[in-house]
Amino acid sequence: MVFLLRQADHLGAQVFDFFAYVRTLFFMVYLSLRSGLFEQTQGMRQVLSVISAQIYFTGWQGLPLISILAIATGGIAIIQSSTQLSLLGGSAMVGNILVLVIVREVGPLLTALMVIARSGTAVASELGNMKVNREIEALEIMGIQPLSYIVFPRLVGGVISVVCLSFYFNLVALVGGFFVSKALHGMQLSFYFESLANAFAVEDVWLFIVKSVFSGLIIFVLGCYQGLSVQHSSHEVPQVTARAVVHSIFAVTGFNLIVSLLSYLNQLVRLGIL
Amino acid sequence: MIERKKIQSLEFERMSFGYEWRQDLLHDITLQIPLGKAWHVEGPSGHGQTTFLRVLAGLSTPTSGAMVINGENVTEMSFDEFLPYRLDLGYTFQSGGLLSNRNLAENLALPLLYHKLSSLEQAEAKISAYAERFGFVKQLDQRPAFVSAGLRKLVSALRTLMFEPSFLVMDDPFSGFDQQTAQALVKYLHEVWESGFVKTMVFTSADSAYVNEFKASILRVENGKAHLEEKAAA
Repeated sequence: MVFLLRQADHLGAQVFDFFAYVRTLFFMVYLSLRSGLFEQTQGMRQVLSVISAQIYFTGWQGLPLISILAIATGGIAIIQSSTQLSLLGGSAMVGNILVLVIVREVGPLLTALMVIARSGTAVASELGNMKVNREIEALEIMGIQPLSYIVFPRLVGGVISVVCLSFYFNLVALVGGFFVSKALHGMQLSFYFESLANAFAVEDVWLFIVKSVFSGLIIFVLGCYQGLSVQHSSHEVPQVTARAVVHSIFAVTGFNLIVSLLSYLNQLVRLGIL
Repeated sequence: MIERKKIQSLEFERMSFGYEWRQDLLHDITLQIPLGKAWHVEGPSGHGQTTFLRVLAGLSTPTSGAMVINGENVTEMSFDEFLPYRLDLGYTFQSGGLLSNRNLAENLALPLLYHKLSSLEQAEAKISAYAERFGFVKQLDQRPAFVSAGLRKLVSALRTLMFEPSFLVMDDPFSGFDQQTAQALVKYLHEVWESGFVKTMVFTSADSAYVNEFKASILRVENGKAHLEEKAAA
């Protein structure tokens, strides 16, 4: 009995810690957005230079890896789906499959995972080292609010980068998919794009935007928070970096799953099934 | 542009500060620091001199009690509320403090441009003048990782002085330099001291020669307490 009570106590403490952690993250987003947007009476040019640097590192430098991932994913999706569909005589459904798999699900998720691997780790370790080297304190001494100079531009630059990379991923995957289809089945360009155009709905665009924006926000909030949580020495930096990656993967995949579930539940309700 | 508030008075009221691993490093300190003088913070090693300077510079918030500037309790102030005082309160680090992803020129220019205290051209001219005076023109476009520790510390100190604070807090500012650079920094500090833009200096230094240079009075930090000894350091 005592053992069970201890376990329940332990579990309860973990739940409380989790909600406190989430609340702190929301508070950091709120403070950095407020600081960056509303209290930023000076230094906007300096902040913009940090935003553009973040877009360069996360967005521009991530393009080669995203290109390879997108071509491979688009190719695999089209090979598997068109082979099965042609056996069933449903080649016209290729567009639907691509929109469902690439645009709605795989594009935003794979892009987010790639950004976690490249930039989430970079942000957490960079900020951790800045903390150890007293760079954050130096900003405070200069009268520069770290939330507006460090966190805000990384959130903004990160979200812009993830949205653009997701869009680019979808574009490359769909175009790559066409070339694979053409090579395999001699698919016509007009047929392919007509199939895609018929498959697209406004909901797909909303799903894409929601998933990309919030995945970007989650990755960079967690990276910044974990990086800034370094207290004293450099041995903490790899620890917080690993924590940022693990938390980001859980949060991003969980968020994508929940959004997809809600979307399909909504569809079922509209169709009158639920 | 944020208007800086000149520091007219600075005092601690029953101020205590401690870390998780040492709760009572500074305990119940009530002290008014007379302005217009140089103060050398002395005391046995490990008794909290650097911590005292950090609290004084607003980098660490007292765990209890208050720091009062111009009659205002600044302890509970937000970053933005404290900013006008912060701009008049300079602090130089014992080590570190330069942004590693910016070169030396960008590090020096950042506060001037961020707070719109200078135009880009004015900031560049000011930085070139400093670089020529202290002999690091060729290193201006280098990042901190590629220059000596002494030069990093010098640039960090100069960045603070470019702000022209009236209250200057320096943590061991003269160590880590060759004799020539240390003398150049002392000479420059004399100039700013005599020109009057720096009105009060509080610093630590292991070398009594530098303490005598500024005829500093002693501010003793020992056993969690701080008190002033008006006589000049020996």
